[in-house]
Amino acid sequence: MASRLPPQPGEWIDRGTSINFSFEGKGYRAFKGDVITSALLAADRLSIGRSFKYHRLRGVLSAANHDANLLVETTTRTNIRADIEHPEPGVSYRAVNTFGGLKRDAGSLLQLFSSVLPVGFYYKTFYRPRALFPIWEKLLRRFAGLGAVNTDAPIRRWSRRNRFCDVLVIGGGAAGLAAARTLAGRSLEVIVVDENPRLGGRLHYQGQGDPTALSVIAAAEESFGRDSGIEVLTAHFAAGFYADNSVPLVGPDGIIQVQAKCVIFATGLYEQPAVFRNNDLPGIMLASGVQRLVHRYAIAPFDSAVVLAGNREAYRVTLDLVQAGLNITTIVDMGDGSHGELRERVNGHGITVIPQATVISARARGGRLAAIRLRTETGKPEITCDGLLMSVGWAPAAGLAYQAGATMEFDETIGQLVPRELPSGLFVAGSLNGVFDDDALRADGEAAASDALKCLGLVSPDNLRPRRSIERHSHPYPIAAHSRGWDFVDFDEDVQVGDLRTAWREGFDSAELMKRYATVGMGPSQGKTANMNAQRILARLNETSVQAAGVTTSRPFTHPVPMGMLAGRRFRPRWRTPMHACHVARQADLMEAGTWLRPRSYTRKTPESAITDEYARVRHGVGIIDVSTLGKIELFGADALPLLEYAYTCSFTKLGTGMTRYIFMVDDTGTLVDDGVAARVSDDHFYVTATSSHAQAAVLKLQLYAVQLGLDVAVIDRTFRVGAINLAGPLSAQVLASLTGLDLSAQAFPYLGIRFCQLDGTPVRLLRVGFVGELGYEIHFPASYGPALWRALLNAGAAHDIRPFGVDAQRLLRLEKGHLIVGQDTDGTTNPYEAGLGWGVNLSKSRFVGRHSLKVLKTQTARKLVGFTCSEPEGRMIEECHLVIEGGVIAGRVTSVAYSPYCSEVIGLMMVDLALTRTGRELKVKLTDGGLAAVRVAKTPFYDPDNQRQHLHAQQTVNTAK
Amino acid sequence: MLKQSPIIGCFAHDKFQFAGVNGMRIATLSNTSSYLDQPTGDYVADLSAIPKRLVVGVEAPVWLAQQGIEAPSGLLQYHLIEDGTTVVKLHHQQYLLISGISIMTRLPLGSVFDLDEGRHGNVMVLDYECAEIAIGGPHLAVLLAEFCPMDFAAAPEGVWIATPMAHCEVSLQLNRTGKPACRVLCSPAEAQYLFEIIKDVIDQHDGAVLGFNDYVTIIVNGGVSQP
Repeated sequence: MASRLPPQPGEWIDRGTSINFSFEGKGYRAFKGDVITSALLAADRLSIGRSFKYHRLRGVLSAANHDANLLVETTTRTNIRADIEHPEPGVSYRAVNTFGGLKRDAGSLLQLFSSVLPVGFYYKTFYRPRALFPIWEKLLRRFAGLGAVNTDAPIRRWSRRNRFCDVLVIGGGAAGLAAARTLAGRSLEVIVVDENPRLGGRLHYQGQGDPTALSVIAAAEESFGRDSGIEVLTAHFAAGFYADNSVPLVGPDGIIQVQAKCVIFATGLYEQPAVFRNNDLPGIMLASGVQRLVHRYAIAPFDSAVVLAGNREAYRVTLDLVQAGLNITTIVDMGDGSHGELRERVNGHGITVIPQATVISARARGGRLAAIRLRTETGKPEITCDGLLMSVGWAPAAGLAYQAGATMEFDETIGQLVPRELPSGLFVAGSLNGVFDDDALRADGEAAASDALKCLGLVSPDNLRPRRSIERHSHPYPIAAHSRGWDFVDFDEDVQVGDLRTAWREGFDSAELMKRYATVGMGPSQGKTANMNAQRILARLNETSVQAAGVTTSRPFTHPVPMGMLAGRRFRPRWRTPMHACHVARQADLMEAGTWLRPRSYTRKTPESAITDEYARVRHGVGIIDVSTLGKIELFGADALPLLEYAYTCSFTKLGTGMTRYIFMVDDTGTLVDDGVAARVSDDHFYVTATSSHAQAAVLKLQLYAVQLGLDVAVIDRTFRVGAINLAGPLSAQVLASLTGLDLSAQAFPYLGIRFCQLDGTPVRLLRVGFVGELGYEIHFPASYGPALWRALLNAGAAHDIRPFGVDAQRLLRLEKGHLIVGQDTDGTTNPYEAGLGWGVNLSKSRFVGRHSLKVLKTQTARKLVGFTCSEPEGRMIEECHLVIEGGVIAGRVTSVAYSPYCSEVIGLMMVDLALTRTGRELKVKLTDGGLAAVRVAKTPFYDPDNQRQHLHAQQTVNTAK
Repeated sequence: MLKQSPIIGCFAHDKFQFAGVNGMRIATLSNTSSYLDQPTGDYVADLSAIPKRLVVGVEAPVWLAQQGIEAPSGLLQYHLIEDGTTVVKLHHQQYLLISGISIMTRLPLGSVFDLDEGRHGNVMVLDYECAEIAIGGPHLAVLLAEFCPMDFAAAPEGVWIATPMAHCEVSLQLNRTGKPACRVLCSPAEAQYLFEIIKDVIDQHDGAVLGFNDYVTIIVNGGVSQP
């Protein structure tokens, strides 16, 4: 049985402070510093979880954050790692992945059907008959996954912080500490990170026989004082390695994204299990796992144990544990057992050594290990024991190094993958590098630090790297496959040796293919205790070497990271216009237009009637719309005009001061990318607008062109600093006249004019332009005046029943007028000739962006943007991007469509093949349901084709105002 | 007509008093903050009412010199003028003037801030509409580390820095010595989002949200370190 030992030197528990918690409905007591598993073991509870596929009982394997079968949950959190997390007072924990609790898990019945659930069974089984798939899917989803997320649990926000340092040392074991000590006090910023709550790595649990081990840690900690430049981050793990030496460190409070000039990987090794029948029984553990339990938490996890030895470390562990008071009866040595002085010392403790033997199976009683069966030179004896310690070898913790671009090779001498090449600025130290002895670890850490110093351009002594170990530390094949199975290679996914053989037989004979098909290494521990044995098995199946068998690609994350931590605090800017609060106050239905928030309409859910109402106010009265999202650019300087001439397709020579004109921009290929209005304020001062979605790009292009051409012009982006309101409708001049003394007559302020004035005391620019097809004024003003000006306009127009209108009404109004929207009615290939804007291209200009392309495109236009109408009922089902079909092939697409109150039918714009653009021609549009709607090509504008509304109403309204 | 701070919506009407400062309606005094009694923790304040002007043109350095202001030569370099005005070179041919906070005692430079927007001689003077947020306190470094992906330690003390902050493009000036503080300039469109997310962190650390006048009283006149 498992029990608590007397106090151990350097133990991590505080026996003076108790914590009560419950697990699976039963109360337990822990000491402060205990993890959940140690507290349960102290109460002789060995079975703590169920396996993923077959729901087999599982206990502690590594006690090192790799025990994926020991995930527990509470009412608010799931997939808590019981082998590293401390129990919280009063909290109830339960195992994940059970049906009816840990003890009576109905899922364990799956073990009875294991013969019909081989690897890949779901690929082969559940797709036929097709009708049954929904049922299978429901069932499989119920069984798949670990833990359940409680969506009602309180939301916790983790932080994601950025940090910068000179050297990041990953791993605070013997080598990492030596590296950090070498770097201390050199005016460098150094971060030492370790996943354990204390520094020291295996010095804490494997060095107890050596009285200097704890003093090594203490000395290192002492040297990391205030002025050392060393920052220690314990309880943080490096989750991945990204470009520019960027490493996310995941800790209890969130992620610290560290960018380091140099990185030292002192990440150590993962101890590997042996494979034999029932090697997953509670009571069978990695030797280092038992050492952690003993030296950190003073737990003896068994009464009587056997050690399965594949290396010399097994003898050292045995001596260490015997010294701690544990009862070890036998060492089953997979080799010849000739370990000299170590063997003698072991024998001196009365421990039997059985050489040339291995464990081939284990059996349980009461859900825990009861006995093991050996294969020896003389037979297959059984040994009664309740503990089996596996000390058969190691695998490098090389995930981060791989991600950083390291290449590894298999060192046959020590039986381990070791680094061959590393990218610049990255260094490896310690057992990851194939050194094992304490002195070698220290020397290797110091040498890695010296290399880092030199990389940083600092003077450093030439610390020579110690020689790699010449001793074999890993057994070449610690695998005893069993004909009756339950010989687990991967404890996370319940992958057995037979599964890998099946995968191999079916052609999945490379490391990457086998991983995908057999799911080996794909569980929460990411193959830390599985991949090495899988590689050995694959090598044997392929009759090749471990090196040739290859490894799978390592990708972030090396260890699971909670989604909430990845998300961090939610940084999602949404741009608000200056009048945003006014829109919210009027209960606008806000929509995302790119990054901007804009009112779709001024009702909560935007029924069609609301759009029609807003539309009608503009057509017949007056409305205002917030158009602050428009790009606004100021050009100032002697070369402002040459810049415009170069950046836009039209000519500006005839644009008089105080006037505006429609402009558009193309790229080098002649593709239409932006449109807007340019106003000439003075000879060296222009004010330009751009589309909302392209404003920043337009500014950058103008700035780029100015630099490229060496022009004397300042390009100032005022998009965010200037607000804009469009006052539109036949009564708009009347509203405006009540707020300004400016002469609004057609003569004094003609269509396309720009004027500077004050509206109710606010300095504004008025642009007489009309996107929606009615008399209108774009009012531009310093953004902070926005709310007051919006209210002033609404007050001034109250007598005319002025209403704000949203984007949907605006789009309908402009569609009736036949105005296109760049990006909606055009795409990434549309040129001005296709869009019907050829009149705005002045090829007689000697140079402008896209000129050469446009010259060619002018003669090669193959499609055109045209209007269409549809008076049939199915016209209401036409949507943007529906395809135009002619002769059974695609002949174009609908770019805009809406029901027009003015035309009393559906109208729209479509980009179609040039041959189909004759007015009146009938075309077919394919609807979402597969049906076809007949439409007719129509002339645009649909509304006010002679543009009389601008002139007629300006005259009328000003007369009325006067 | 009063301007309105782009951040005004972040200040609860029952917890702050509002008034016009430099022609801008802004939260001035907190009704509830205990920061006045113990100004030691973190704070955030809206200083958008501090006047700012952008002087544009190839002749801008000459024009500024005529006003008694030496134009910085390098991008984002700045000069601090006697009356507290800061001049920063924001871009090619573009110089930002930021008034000192004690606007009541402005020296002749005040005339620059009183100029109407438009052409003045060979330069154009524009109203530089932006939000200004002051942040300070012991957790400033943590906040900046979370919000900004840059190594501030590599920047000289007091320099203006253009950086993303919580995914918004801002200019900020950082004072790391003494009590850490910084001032952040951001676009009005992003101001409310940015202020809210900063306030969220300040709240986590039991910090205070200050009005404009609170800031002047505690931070400027009270001797607490300011940027």
